[in-house]
Amino acid sequence: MYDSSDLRKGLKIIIDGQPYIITDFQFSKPGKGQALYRCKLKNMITGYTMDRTYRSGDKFEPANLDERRMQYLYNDGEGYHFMDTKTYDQVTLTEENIGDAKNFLQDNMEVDVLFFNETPISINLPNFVQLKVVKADPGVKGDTATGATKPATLETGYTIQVPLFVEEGDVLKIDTRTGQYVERVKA
Amino acid sequence: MPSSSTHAIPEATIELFSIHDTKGKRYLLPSPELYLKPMLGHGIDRFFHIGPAFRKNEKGPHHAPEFTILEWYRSNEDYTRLIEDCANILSVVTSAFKRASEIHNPLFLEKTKGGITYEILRIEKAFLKYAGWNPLEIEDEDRFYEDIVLKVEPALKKFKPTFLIDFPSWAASLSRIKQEDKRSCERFELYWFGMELANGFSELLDPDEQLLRFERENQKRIESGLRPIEIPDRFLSSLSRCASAAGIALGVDRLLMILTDSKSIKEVIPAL
Repeated sequence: MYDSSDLRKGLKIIIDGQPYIITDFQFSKPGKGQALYRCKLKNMITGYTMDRTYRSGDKFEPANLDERRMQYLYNDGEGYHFMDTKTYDQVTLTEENIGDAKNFLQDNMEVDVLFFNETPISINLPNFVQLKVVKADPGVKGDTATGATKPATLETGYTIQVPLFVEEGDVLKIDTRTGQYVERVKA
Repeated sequence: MPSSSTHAIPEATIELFSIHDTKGKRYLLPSPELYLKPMLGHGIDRFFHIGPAFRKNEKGPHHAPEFTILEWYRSNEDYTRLIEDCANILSVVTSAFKRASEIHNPLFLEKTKGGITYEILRIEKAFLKYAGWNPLEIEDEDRFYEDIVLKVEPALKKFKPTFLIDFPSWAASLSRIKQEDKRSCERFELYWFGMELANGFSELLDPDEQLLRFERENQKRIESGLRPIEIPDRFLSSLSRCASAAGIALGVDRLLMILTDSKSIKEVIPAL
């Protein structure tokens, strides 16, 4: 068990049976009163965020979470399938579990699957992925303003803003944390 | 003035650092009042002390385990005189700051342009307005301090020093009960720039009443899993020798934070 003085940013705890991560934390204490531990919490399954204030003496159950490196196989009506490349165990995650990560998932990509009490709840992508452009309009001639962008569709179906020189067939480096274009890897 | 003692004032929510040697244990003092208040009984009328104070497990944007307290006492005065003192200190510090061209804090200069005017607000009124209940009628200590932090303080005028006065009698700490309204005590807190800056009161000088309060504080310590603190007998017996007086503690680091527009107390304490 944790108690209030263990609370800090990044700590994972269970509230009402669900795993939460503390995304922001502030200690406050009136000179003569009880300490208050003000937390912003994010539900690690649904992504739902909430504010909670705890007092000294409150106890918290640590969230039993572990991460396993797995390979993405495919997506069908049931969900997104992943395989442990050592044990060949397979797990299936729902679209809700996957969230925005679906925009960057490629067949055979290695990702970290997060398990809560042995149930897969979400995935962590590598910070950067390389994806091919399948559709991009030609840049408008004469528009040389620096920073000008246009939309481009990637092989995953995700559309992002890219510089005007990007063309169909280019491979781009994308930051999965921001969902933004970083650079062109291959023209 | 020593920073440590074999004794400490029993307070429900303050965790103490203790230091040990082969001869026993001493506490790093969480406040200088243990040594200072008894000086009132030695014929010293007015005095101040500035020095370190230590509180365990207090770490946050406005809290550091070691910080600096300015504490002062005035004989034959009550808490209203301390409110004037605070207002004067804030004015003097503000003018001094404006002359010190090496520090540049546009926010502070802007907010103190027209000089310092302050506001006095009774706890009862503040709570009825901002928290929707009256702590002078209902005793609920946890809810009281929580609402000060979460409801009352955020509703105060941030840039105007505000004295919250006449705390509930059950939150009197070491202060005197108000004779005109026994539901409250002559205790106040000063708020400025969103922070509690000072806590002052007309001093309680009745050893029996103080002993009862210490025992209550210790009871709360036990309930919240803290060790009770041995009753400081010499402190208690000194009270009856003291002249009527008022005393106050002001957080020096927090005042520095205001002057330098610091978001965290770490910015004004070297190598924390």
